[in-house]
Amino acid sequence: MTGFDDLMSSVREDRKQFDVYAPDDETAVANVLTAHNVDVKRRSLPDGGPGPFLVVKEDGEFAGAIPFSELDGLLEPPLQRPPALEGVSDGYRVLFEALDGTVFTALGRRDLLAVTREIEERAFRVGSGTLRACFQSFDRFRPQVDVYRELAGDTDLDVHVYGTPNWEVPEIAGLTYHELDGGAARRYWVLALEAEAGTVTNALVAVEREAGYDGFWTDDPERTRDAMAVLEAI
Amino acid sequence: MGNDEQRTSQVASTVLDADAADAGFDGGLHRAFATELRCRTLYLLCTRHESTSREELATLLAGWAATDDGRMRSAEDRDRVRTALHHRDLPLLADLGFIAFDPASGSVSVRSIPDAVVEAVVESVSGAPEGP
Repeated sequence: MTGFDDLMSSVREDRKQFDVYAPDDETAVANVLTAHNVDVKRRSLPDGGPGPFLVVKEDGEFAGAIPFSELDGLLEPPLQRPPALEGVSDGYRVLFEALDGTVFTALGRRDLLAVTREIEERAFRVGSGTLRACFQSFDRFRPQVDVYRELAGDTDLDVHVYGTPNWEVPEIAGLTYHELDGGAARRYWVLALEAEAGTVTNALVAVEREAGYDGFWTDDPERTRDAMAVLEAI
Repeated sequence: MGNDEQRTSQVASTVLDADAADAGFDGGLHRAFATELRCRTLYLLCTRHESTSREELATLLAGWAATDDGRMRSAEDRDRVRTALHHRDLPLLADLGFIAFDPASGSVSVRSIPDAVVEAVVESVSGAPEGP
């Protein structure tokens, strides 16, 4: 499951830190970053000195200093990103990665179920496009069969369900099953939703550890398509 | 680090000598203003950061340069500033008695900056020159 591992490491913003150098009354940038659940520290600036700027750090090391004038449009939704993060200066790459996903560690199944339900409900609302869901094993899909029967039957969604074949799944029109082998894939709890024409994108990628699940959820189109592509390739 | 540090120190000494020769020496004032980086460093020390570090100064100066022209400054840009501070500007300001600088820990603190220097620095910086 290198694909999911790569995705997870690319959004693991707990290694990222943002130092906001700005006058005390200039709080907008710090507030936006704080809302993304990243590590933000405020630093003072002398009057008459530099204008406000953002210092981006990764693993404790300076990655870039970005003037506030360059942040216009980068922090407000819809977020404007370069088409690919490759080739982007480290400072911007770290910033975009931090804004893209909400990373979590040691999350319990109940919390993950809440995120999962949210994405499934969104799938109902959009009603068309593709939904791919990896339940790790088919017995974990069992309590959700009715939900997915409705998703496949009452919407125009193309629905795909993944899992190791430890339970005999019912045939459902509009729903395609994909059997996983017993390898690393069974550790991943993944949902990826892309509405027709990409108007709505959502993904949840979580890996089961001893202490719970680590992963992220995102509404970023590129990350969602990456998660979708990893599942498609199975 | 050892040999590189030594070699860079020799280069830095040459730079200092050249500074001194160019300055024509009127006390420390000319040398204190010889580079914009040094001038801005003094401004930061005078105005807010009386006790700080080489690392924090390098970050502030890189950020300052970024706000000059609205372009991001990279880790490499900041490293250049840090190297200049470490080998050239901070030792020189320490020689002038303006600051105490510990090259090992990187700590920097203001000792005694003459009022005339402070006034001149503030006036010079508010002229909004180009960044490092």
